[in-house]
Amino acid sequence: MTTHLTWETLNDLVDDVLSPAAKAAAETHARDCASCATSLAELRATVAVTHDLPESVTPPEDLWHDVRATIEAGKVAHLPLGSVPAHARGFWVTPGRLAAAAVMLVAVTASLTGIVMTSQPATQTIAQAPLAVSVSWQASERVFQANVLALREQLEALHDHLAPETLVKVERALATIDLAIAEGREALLRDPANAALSELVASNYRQKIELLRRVTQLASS
Amino acid sequence: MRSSLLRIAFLAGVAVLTATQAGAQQKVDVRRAVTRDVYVRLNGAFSSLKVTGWQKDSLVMTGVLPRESRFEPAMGAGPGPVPGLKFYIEGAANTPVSGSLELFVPVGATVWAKSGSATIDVTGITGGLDLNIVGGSISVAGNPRELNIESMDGTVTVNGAPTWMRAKTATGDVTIRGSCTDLGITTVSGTITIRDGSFERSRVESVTGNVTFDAGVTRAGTLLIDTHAGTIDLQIGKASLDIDATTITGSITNSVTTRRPTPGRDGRGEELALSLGTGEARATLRSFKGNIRLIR
Amino acid sequence: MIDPQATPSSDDTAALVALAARGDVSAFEQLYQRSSGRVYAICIRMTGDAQRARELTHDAFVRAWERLSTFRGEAAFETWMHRIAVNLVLGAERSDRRRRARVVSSEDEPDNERVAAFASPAPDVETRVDLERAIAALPPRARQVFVLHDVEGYKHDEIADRLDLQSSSVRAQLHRARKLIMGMLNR
Repeated sequence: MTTHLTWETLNDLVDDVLSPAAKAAAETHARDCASCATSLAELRATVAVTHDLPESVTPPEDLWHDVRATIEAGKVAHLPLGSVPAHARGFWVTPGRLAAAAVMLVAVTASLTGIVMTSQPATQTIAQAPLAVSVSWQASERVFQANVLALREQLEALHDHLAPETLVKVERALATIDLAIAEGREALLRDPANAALSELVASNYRQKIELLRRVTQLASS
Repeated sequence: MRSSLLRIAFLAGVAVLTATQAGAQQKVDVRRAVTRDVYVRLNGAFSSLKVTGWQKDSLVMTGVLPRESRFEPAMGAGPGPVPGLKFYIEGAANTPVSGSLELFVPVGATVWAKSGSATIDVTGITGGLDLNIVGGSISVAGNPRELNIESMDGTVTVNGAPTWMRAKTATGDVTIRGSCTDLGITTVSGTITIRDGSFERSRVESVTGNVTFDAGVTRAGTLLIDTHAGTIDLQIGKASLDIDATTITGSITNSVTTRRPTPGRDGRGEELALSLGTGEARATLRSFKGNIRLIR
Repeated sequence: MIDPQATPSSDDTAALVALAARGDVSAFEQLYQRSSGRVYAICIRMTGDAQRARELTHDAFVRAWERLSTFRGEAAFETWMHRIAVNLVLGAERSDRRRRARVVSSEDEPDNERVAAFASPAPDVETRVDLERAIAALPPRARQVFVLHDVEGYKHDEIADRLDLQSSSVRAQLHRARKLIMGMLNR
């Protein structure tokens, strides 16, 4: 009875990792055995087709937009632009507070832009920190604001799902974070290129988003 | 006789479940053969949970719940050890949450537990733990491979050496005595205390809570502590550490060496960089308006 | 001004990297246009998941942006990006494995978003697309080994080192992947 080449041997032969003696024996067998010759040819053809796959695959068209938004935000602070999970678009504690926060965000953003635009020559490029910072901050704040505003609707739907005492605790914690964010941002207006300050403000943003995520999960569970 | 029958059924891998009601309470008694890495999920209205890892390939849950509570276990049918079980406890409306449970699982189990205000105590687990409360307390003793804790104002206490740990609270205090390879702690206003052991990669964030780090950082390890207004106390000991400390408006006190901090940018706040020993590990301490103290 | 339509030379690339390292996003965009196809290819073939591939490609370029100052030019920029992408894919796979280990029943798992861009083979599609789909349908470990070896040209030992496997395991996974691929293509 003929012993055919094992699948492992066929593969090792194609990959040329057999010892010279084993290779010679396998090749001799394949010459004389139609079945193994066919298997070998099919395997070689599959490997060849694989090698011929194009090196590149076109990524989604809008991917550069996301990359750019992230790196622009990263010039100031490592904010989770575009990466806040859908379920973290949780809620603000009260609609009134949310609206006030939105107004505050817009006001701060506007004032930041005003300061930068009046103080920097128009010829400065993005590569120079202050103008890049303002553009980044605007982009970051818009995303943050949009997320917070979007959460408001979910909040109103989920409001009754939490115990009143839990709501009070959450409200206090969010107020603490918001005060920290406001103080940090005000300092960043005066010193936009301060890397440590940027990281500290980013940390507060992360805290807020994380707290909202957890409260949302709590309310929806 | 009954106990013999129970033992026989248990050894045969058949689930034994009794929830007998007596008066205002119902007793819980669940016994099942399980795999060594069983996943156990427990969600709902209980006020106390004690989890113990043991060397048996079985799960036992006992306890008492209010009579009105609905206790729903799900563990799959058939003989043989099961790889997972779920328990859901629904409390009665307008009734304070009560009920205490005790759970024994193989040491390599993964336990996921979530409740409102509850006391959760865990000992002897080397698998994974995912514990979530609003209030109350969580206490973990042992060396779980993974430890994830979320709490609003419940306190968190860990005595041991989890390999990977994340703890998040809003106002709950966090205390860790032991070691960890990959540590992340986040709080809004709870205090964070890390003592006694050795930590490789640590990131600690607080808004107004104070942070005390009185432990070691492993060679080539990193420690990052950020606060907005919380103080940061770094107890150096014999650490070999490169330290970068920065405040925006707070102060830095160095009682470890004679080096004094320098004024920060725009003359506000302070900065201090120093290298202790051979500086094989790195600590970055940043606070907006909290004070930073380096203590020997 | 560097013409993005011209065939890139290494000098062009070096100039773009230098500009990008100083914060020039437009220069980085040109680098992105030149190398994103390659990066996306490795991400989607190794994950078999279009959404995941998108995320990892995004992360690869963000990481590259953060580390431009460390790019020394000893290798081509595309080769550097390729290395970043492979590291990210393998790192993400390790994290995913750990997260999956916590979940038991299928109803507890998040919705399966592993809808590969190259889903079930259709009989009227060219062999190349059939092959992409077959690769996407491979078991995860076999897919990683197959892509790294047969598509990307890594040696057994290199793959063993990257995936923390024995060489014999790499060979076994590769052989298994090829058998599965051939089976799918011959249906």
